[in-house]
Amino acid sequence: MDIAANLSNLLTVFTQPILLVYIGVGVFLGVYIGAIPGLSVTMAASLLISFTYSWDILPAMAAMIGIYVGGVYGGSRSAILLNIPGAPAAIATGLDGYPLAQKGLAGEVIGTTVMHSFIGGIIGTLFLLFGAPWLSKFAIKFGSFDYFLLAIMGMLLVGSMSKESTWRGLLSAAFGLLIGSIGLDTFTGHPRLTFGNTYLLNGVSYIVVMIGLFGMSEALVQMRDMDIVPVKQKLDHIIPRWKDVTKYIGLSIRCSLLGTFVGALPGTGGDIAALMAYDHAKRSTKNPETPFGEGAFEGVVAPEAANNAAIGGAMIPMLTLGIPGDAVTAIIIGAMYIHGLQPGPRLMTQSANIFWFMIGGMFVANLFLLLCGFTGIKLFAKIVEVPKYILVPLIIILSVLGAYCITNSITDVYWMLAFGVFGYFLKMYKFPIGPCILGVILSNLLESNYRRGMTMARNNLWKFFLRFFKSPITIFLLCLLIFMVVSQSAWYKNLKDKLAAKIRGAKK
Amino acid sequence: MKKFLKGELGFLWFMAAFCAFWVWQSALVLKAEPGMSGGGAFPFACACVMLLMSLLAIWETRHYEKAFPKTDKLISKIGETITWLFPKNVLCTMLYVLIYALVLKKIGFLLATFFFLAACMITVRTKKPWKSVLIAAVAVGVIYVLFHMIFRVRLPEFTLFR
Repeated sequence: MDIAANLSNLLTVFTQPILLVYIGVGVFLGVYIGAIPGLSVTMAASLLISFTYSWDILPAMAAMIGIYVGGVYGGSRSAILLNIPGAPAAIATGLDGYPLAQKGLAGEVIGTTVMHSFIGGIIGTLFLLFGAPWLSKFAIKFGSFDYFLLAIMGMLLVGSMSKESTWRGLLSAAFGLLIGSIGLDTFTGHPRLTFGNTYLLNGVSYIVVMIGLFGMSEALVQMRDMDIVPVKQKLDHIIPRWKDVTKYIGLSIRCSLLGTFVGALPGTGGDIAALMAYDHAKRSTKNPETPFGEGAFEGVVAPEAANNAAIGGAMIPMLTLGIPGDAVTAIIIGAMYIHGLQPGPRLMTQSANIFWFMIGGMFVANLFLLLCGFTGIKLFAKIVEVPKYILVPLIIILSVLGAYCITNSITDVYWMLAFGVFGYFLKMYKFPIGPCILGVILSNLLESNYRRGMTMARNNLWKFFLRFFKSPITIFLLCLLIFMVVSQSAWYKNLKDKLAAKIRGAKK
Repeated sequence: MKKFLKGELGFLWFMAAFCAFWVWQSALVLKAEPGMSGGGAFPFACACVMLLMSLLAIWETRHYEKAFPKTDKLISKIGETITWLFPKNVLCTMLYVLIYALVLKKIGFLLATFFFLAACMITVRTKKPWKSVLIAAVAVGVIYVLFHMIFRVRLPEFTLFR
């Protein structure tokens, strides 16, 4: 391997300043597009790909990387300010980000998300740089049972999201899983639960569900209290103080590692990484200053670090194996084919310059994220202070547009409205919304891997369970899952308290 | 002791019936595609979990204080619940959004959105309706430029007389 040549390719972006412009503009657009409810980084990447047909390969890749990095971060802004996630990856961010904005800390929390998204992005890119070959070999060993266990772990987050009633949270999650199974069965091609409706053959888009349950229902709830004066935002600590950064650095690094790993698994992405990171933060943070769900900064740091780290992770299978890590990398693979490249093992041999350029571009994009992320915070924070009689109808329009833009179909708008009204009832009667979206996101991962596993076990339940003990990775994940369940029980908490008391007694 | 919200118990029973419906429908799928790895297993399991959770959610409220005095008649309870769930702003907004969605494809994005925004803002804030109309017009313009011209999103056009 020619190290000098690889280093030269890594630094290509600095030798051609115009590429810096493409990345910078990409990040800027990604941040602001991602921040608009209804527009997603996937949509932004899809729009961009049509522009880049006639471009050279390096500018095209530079712009795509910029949009990707900026767009993943951008979704958190509307989650924090309006409680409407700009992307599924920002759902977890909104759980604590929105309560913080309601306390007048929108500027501070957005600044925190920028910083920890940057940290996550850098860690993910470092793994891409140094660990791509071995991480991709490890990721490819994951089988159906491993993905099934990962999906179950993701579903454990339901407990974190169900403050009022665990039963209502589980009902919401199960409903989300059921919604995810509507449409043509991916195994047999038979329609399921479509009621003869041709629209439902493609299933219900999780974006439609998300916009309806979060955006539309939130707008209807807000319509009830038009007399509430918008909270005045404190904007004096937008750039986090060094001590605030170091306070959460341990959590940020752990969640970045988690995000990189989850992102590297083909078919999972930043949304699952962010949800798992939030769950990890909740379990690992002892005595948070503010309870989770009411404005804990840890609840914002964790998902933001993870979802940006997942970008580096998702690029690993894309570049080394030609397998998309998530929806955006699937689009980037398409762009690479258009430009005559072969993503996969041959990329490093036949087009090594592109491989190293993309890694260099990722580092630069994260630097631009730091720059662009801190711009416009004061302006964005002011959005929360816009009178409700203007803001709420605008949110409804953006929700309608967001649903319409998916496939330019008015039917998506009707479904969004239906979910919006249903979500309004759920909110009024204290059913958590988050578990429903969680269920929709994880439904396909859970079901398809369960069915593959059950098929391998010849429909025998005992053989299905025995297969969890066949692979070291599966055994490890199973032990981790059992620990995650047990650690939430009252018995475990009592045991921990007793042990801690004994240790304190022994020290005295 | 916790207290029922208005209509909460009724909604919980509605959810139980809703879940029972999904159990029935997914049982039909299971019948068509039987087997642990068949297409019906997963939806049926989800629907059963939904039904069980809905019944547990009802059971959980067994010690709740009632939302209405015992002496209230059912019709007045329903009336109060509807008034609480659908205050004027919410009811009007739902109606406007429904009309908006129905006419969007006919009269196009610009007109439909302008009328919706103006109607919503005037309903919620009845003072200075001209200000609401002006804000609606500016907002429609900004959204149109952003989505249609910059993001190249194809928005519904006026097709009423086509």
